[in-house]
Amino acid sequence: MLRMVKLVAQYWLLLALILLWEYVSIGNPSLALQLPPPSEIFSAALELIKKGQLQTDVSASLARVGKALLAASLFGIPLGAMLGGSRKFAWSVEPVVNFFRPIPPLAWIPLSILWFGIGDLQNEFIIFLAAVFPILINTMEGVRDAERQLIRAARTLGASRTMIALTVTLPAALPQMFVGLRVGTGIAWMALVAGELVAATSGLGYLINLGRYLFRSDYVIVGMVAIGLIGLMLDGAIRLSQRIVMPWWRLVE
Amino acid sequence: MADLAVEIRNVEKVYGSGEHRVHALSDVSVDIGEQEFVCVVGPSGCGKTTLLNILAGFEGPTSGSVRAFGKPVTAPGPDRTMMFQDYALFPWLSVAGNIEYGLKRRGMPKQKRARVLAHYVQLIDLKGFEKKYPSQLSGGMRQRVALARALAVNPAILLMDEPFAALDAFTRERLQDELVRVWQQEKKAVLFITHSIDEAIKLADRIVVMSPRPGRISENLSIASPRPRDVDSDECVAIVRRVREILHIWPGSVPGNGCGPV
Repeated sequence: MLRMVKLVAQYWLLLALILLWEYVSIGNPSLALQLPPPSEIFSAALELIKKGQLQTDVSASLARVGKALLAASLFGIPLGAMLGGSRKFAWSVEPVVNFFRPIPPLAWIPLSILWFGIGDLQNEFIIFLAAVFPILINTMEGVRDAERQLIRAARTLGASRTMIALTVTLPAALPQMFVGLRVGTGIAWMALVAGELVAATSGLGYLINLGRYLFRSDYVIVGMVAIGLIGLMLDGAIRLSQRIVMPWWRLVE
Repeated sequence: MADLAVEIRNVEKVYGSGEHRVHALSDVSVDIGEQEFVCVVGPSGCGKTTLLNILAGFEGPTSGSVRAFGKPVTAPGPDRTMMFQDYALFPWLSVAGNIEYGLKRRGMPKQKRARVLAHYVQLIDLKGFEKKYPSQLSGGMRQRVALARALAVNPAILLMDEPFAALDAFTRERLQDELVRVWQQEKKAVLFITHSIDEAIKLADRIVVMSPRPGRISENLSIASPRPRDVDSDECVAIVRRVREILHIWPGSVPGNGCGPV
């Protein structure tokens, strides 16, 4: 019961806005194209699910983001750890990273189409570029900020260099690495839609673009809502895995 | 005590050069006997932590020699474990995980590890807390875990860098008593850094008084009274007065604290 009251207290504003939207939209038929009412969007979503289109697009988008995030982690975490762990390595490699980092992933779209054509690989490349820098930079900072006293404590207890890297630096860097993963996933999800808008034949970005061509603004909004909800769930999934991987994290506030 | 745990001979330590040159240690020589409890007192900047770091092997002396148990000190090792003011416990390991850390590094089999763990958990009175993480413990409990972790690898000397300075007065007194009790059971050499004269009086067989700029040893004072010590005994009061004289602190001006004007 208390839970219900709390839920209402937290979400009443969102609910009120949706109801206001429905009311305004129904009352003005001229708004049918610009801003269809939520009830119509809901039925459009049901229609897309019945056709199987929404499922196809969601899974296409998720598969792309999943593959690109995996690649970004496999590349960004070791490279970030090396940059954070070795001054010598960072001295010559960090300038390269800092040169590529400010180039927006979307600016790579034209070149990537020339390189990979239109398709999954091209889309995944854009998502990879979006996700890799937050993951890499945060891993690097996490490794760099590993407390010196902890490393010293491990040394006096007889830990070798390799063991210190594995049992001290790595767990010390984990919280920051998760920050990178969360930020990276958020940006990846945004880049995905941008990439699919330009060059794709499936996915939520493609659905939005299709809605635009068909003058179906309800399709467009279904795509937008799906993106928001899935983004929320992805973030929740990462936070959950953080709790599992790092049970010691934020035990006491 | 015939055998020496530590021989520090004519150690000089200089940081930087030119204008930024800091003479941290000047001609420092200290011997520590096996099972001897030595406290180093002195105001901030007298080089006491530098001395400890050199003995731990975190940094080398500019000149002079440092030997522990007959071997020159070149790197940190589990024969010289350390306790830090800020605990330096691994936050991702439980109490048990922290205590076992050094044992795992030397590849001790699981059953033996469990026995050692049980012994030290008992010794520091933390039974029932084995699965807690450091963030769930009070400062005093954390420092007891750090003590157990440092002792578990069976070091020959324990290096302690103001380990109780961050604790409240009551917890500090309790931990001082516990340290004396544990030390009497485990029989290690101890080098204990503090800026509290009272703490040194309570703990040490011998007090090494250091003065700053450049960091050097002013005097060695042995304390004969048996433990637990009566800090108000004639001998202890005389030693406190002597330490204050050396450090030019007038009796009564900065009670119980070696950090006064120098």
